[in-house]
Amino acid sequence: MTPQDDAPHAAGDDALIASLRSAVDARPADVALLVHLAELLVAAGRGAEAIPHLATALTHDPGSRAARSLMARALAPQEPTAPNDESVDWAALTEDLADVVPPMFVDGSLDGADGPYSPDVEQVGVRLSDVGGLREVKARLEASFLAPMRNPDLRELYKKSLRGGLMLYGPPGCGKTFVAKAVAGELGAAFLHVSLADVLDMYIGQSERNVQQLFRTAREAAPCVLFLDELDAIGQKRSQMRYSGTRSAVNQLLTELDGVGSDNEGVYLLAATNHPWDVDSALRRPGRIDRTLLVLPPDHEARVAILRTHLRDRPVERIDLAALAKRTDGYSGADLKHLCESAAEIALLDSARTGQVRLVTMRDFESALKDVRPSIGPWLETARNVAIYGNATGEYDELARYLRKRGRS
Amino acid sequence: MNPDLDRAEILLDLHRPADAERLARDCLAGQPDSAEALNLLGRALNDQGRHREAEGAIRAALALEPDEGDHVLQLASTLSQLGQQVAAVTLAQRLLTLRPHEWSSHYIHAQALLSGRRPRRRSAYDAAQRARDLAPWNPETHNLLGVCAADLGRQDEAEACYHEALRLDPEYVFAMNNLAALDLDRGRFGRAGAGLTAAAQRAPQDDVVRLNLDIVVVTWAQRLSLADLALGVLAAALLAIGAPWVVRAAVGTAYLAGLLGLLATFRRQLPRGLSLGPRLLGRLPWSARRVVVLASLCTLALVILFFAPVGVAAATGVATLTLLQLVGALVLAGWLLSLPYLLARQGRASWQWHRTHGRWAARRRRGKTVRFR
Repeated sequence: MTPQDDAPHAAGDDALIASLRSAVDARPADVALLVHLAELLVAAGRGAEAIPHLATALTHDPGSRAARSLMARALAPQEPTAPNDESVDWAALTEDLADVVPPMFVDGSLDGADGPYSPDVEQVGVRLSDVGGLREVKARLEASFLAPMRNPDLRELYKKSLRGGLMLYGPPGCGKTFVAKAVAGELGAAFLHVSLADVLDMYIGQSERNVQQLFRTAREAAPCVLFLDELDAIGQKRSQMRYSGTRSAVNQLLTELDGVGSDNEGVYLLAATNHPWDVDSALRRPGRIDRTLLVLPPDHEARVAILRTHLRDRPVERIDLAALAKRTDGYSGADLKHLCESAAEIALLDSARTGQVRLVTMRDFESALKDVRPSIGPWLETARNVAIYGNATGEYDELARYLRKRGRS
Repeated sequence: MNPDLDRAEILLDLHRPADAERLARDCLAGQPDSAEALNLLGRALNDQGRHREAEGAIRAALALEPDEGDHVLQLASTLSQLGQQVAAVTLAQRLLTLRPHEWSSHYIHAQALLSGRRPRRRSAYDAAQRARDLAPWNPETHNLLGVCAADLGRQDEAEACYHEALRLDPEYVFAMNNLAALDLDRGRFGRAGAGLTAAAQRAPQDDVVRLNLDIVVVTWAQRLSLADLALGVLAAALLAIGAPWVVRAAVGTAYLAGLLGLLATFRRQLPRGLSLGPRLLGRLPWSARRVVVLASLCTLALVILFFAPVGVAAATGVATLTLLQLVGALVLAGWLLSLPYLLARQGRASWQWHRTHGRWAARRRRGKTVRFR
């Protein structure tokens, strides 16, 4: 059958579907009618439209096998319709365009089913001005990383190399990823985020090839900020590793950072970790990830900004942000989010219990504050040991100062 | 292999046992009879120090696959950690019948023999030697042989073993710690401090290394107290014979110069972040704190004896002597009061002490630093 033959058939189906819709509107609890309509919609490739009807059918008759099976079909990912025109010689076309369109993968294969890891590059819209507070972090970021990037003439004058990356470290949930995105925004660069999950999958696959692919993608998307989140996972001390697979991934990472056989021009490397002391020292040598920046829990100004952001779309009443920020010293950004959610949850449960919708008030925050405590305590304990015992070269002096200030060292 | 288990295995390698545990439990929710997942869960729990729970998981794995050497090995290792020597040795022997030619079987056997209250040192040494002969390239086997040799009093051999382990892996913290502990036991104070500082730099989270560093501080304080007592006798003699103030002050100045020189040397051997001020006291266990406080008081008293006018010096001398007598009487009373308890718990005393008062107290009581096996 040709596509032209399908046209009247589709038009007939549409008419039938329209009339069945009217019938369903008239009798919304008729399970057989709902299932029939859904069946037609699924057959027409309109699974998404069928889902609400099937949900209604299952509400009335949870045991309906037909509805369940149709729901499974409707929820399954839709197969893309293959072009039916056999007159097109796809192989010849691919060959003709080979010079114009680069292959999907290095080995030239078009099918990604068993291909290497393929990271996604995104464009970010955030800037450093969107990061609330953290004035000191922003100033140091500007001085150590952004200023040389933005001033090519001065860079040339002072012979400042662009080689090397920046490692952000600090307690979990304190906005390292957000700061990295803001850096990408400041540089007008694409953002390539590699997380722990990606890294684990890398190790399961062909780790060296995947690390290579990661850097190749970043170079192709240049200018690009390549952000290695949880660097300790990908750059763990090799002496602590039991398996050769993880060691070879670190070796490949070192090769890529050195730009052996390829130029890393336009690739800005940022990394983040909660445990910089677990990162292989080879990765931190000059020319690699050689600069560090401590991202501490949000200061008062940042806490006000974070709380404001999390409360923006919630029904709140007379919330004293300054007072809340004062009482949440030492809370991470994630803790503050949790606090807002807990307060909202208290108001929600109360509204559900009384049947009267009410706004989130300071009293809800008072209650929430009793349960939500700062989560960075264990990190501070670890950091304290590092500041005392593992700071021979002075690389954690800033951390030691912060801990002294907090009375933890 | 299940991809989640693959991920969990990598997480264990990345020292994220809690995440590995979560994945292993997820796998077990879908496949409760997966011996592989149970074994992995056991290892993740062991890495978190939850040996009792680990024992349960690995026993379940072993029940599903009774002849799997990995499960036998893990269970023997776990039971060694729990100090259950007899059961651990029995399992290690079973492992030896399953895998007689693997170094790990002999290694686990040696560990099992060393575990518990009455370690079988001679047999452990022989087993560790067999492990070392099978895997001379592995620093762990040299380290364990060093521990066994040190336990048998063969300190030179132990030192050679640790050096060999460090030659194979210069970053091997266990051997670094054990070598420093050996140095401390042999009275090589400076080398011990420097070695432990190097180990702490590489593994700041390791409580055993930190514990041994505390022992260095306390041993130093003990020696200072003894030196203070000897010099106290000299100061008392000078006061008794009515030596002029200049003579006392000269001896005192020499003492202070020597003390400051020693303190400076000592400070250099300690980690950079470790202060010698009041903060140090806060970090030490209570039993260690007493020793440091006593040494500080003795030093202060000595300075007064050397530099103060005769009347003040004499009064300080009497007060210090009274204080020391009081402390001595309290210590004696404490020993006498705890004697019935210790006699009733004969044989178990050190273990109980270990459990209730922490590793530091137990090791100090036995005059030993802590070694990694």
